[in-house]
Amino acid sequence: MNSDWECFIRARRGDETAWRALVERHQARLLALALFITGSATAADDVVQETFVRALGANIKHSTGTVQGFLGTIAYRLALKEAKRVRRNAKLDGLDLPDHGQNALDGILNDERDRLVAKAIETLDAEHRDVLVLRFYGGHSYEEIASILQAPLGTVKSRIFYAVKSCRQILRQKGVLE
Amino acid sequence: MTHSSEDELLGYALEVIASDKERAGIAAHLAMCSECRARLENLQKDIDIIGGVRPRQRVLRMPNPRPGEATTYAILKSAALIILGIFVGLGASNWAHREPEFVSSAYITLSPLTDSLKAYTVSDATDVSVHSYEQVLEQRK
Repeated sequence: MNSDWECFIRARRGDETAWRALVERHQARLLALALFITGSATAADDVVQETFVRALGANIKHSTGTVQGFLGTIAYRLALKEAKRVRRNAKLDGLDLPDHGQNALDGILNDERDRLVAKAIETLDAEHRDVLVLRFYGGHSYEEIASILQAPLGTVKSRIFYAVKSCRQILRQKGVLE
Repeated sequence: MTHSSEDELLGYALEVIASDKERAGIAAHLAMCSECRARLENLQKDIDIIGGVRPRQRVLRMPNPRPGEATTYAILKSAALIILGIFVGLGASNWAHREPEFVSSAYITLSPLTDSLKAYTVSDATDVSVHSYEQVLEQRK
């Protein structure tokens, strides 16, 4: 068992030092993942908190894979659920969806380059965005992503390729990348 | 020499090239082309930037430990502390400086006086001079 899983198991027993180490290692990536899927800083914060609650409360019989992948899967599913809930409520209320984009990013991203990267990722359609987010922020292998999305491995690889290529083009135009 | 295309290098960097032959071909070219190695390095930096957004983080509340885990952990921890305490106690008792033990006079049993000693009283032992005591000893011989 690697140190990340040991840290996880100590944290679920109530060890505060292990808990802080776990949060330090994974919170930022999970928060970015949730932010890209929900488009809301508040929802992203809630998703990350709930992710840790569910992960530490889960009845895990084995510890294959990575802690990051385990947490990433929970965060991704919660974020999708939250995004659907917001869309459904907006439809029921007959309202247009609030444009979280710029405001959400300004509130939660301090770095200008990060804001531009996040905006580039937001321009992707959901299929390409999800693969990119699961790969870079969920810490999943392509095989794991194929399993989560129920998509063929070749499709997953093709999507990540075009997602990154598209982001690079946008960021080059903005002068973020050379 | 034909350099690798940007798409080839991006596919290589992202590890999405399915064909072993194609991947091996790019790797062989990179081994002898410093220009393409530099381009690949720049691509890798771009990927790190795209995958490296770090939002501001708030302090998270620690979830309550799982009931089963917490109980088992507490029992094991307590047992370990008790065992450790026993060993530490035993070790300390072996190494500690021992003061003479006080024994209450109530528990001292005096052996009965022998016949030869019965002839002398306490005052005999304390009052007589050394010379007279030697005389007594000689008489006993």
